[in-house]
Amino acid sequence: MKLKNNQSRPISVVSFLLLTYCLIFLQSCAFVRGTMGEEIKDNNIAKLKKGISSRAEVGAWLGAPDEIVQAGGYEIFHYRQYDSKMGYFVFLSRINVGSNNLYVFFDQQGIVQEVIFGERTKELEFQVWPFGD
Amino acid sequence: MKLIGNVTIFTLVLLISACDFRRVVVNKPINPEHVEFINPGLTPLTEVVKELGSPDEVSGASDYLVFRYHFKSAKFFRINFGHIFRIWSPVSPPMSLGNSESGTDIFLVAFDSNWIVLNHGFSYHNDTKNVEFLPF
Repeated sequence: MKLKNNQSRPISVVSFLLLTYCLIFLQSCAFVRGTMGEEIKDNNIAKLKKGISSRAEVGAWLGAPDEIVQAGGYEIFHYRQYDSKMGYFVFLSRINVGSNNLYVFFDQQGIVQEVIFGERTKELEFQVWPFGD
Repeated sequence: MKLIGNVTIFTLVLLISACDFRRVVVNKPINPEHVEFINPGLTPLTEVVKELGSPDEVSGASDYLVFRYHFKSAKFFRINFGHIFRIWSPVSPPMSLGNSESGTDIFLVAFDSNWIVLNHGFSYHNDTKNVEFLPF
């Protein structure tokens, strides 16, 4: 193709470079969310009564546990849920992962003796900046 | 001169976009200052749970319990020199140098049969507080 004048070449190169910069930056931006495990609902946890609720009732309300542990003379049902949020921009990325864990302690008769629940996924944020504390 | 400047900027942008600064944070990191409240023989399980939340793992034997809290805050860096091929090739073969680590740090607390702290300690499996480039 024949150019009309010499001035048009630099402009077209600049346009090409600007377009390329835009494409490079636009194609490198992502926000990704990942979860694993079922949500542990507050209303189901509220149903658990120490000294009253049985193993069968806990199973009916919360489903099968992810893990059953024998420790300290108790049978412990462990329910867990993971959540992750990742922010990615060109060459910077940060992934924050948190977990919620529910432990239900049963005595030898299969009655709930203790309930421990910790929710750490509510604090998770989408972040991109990887530096600092 | 203008063209050389533009090409230089273009190359720099390509090089920067070939870099990857990454941060991985798993749970809220626990520092020794966070666990100063724990006194072996005195602190009950309920206080530990109140301050640190529920653990990620529970194990033990018939007369003791062990809580494990997993956490991590690591920084990684990687550069892919094959990224430059993206200018003229649909495929950019990876030619990367970088550093990464798997695994989490652990804070461990052991309780006796009365659910009073017996012992506690940290187990560090990561040393990526700063960004490191070379994998060697």
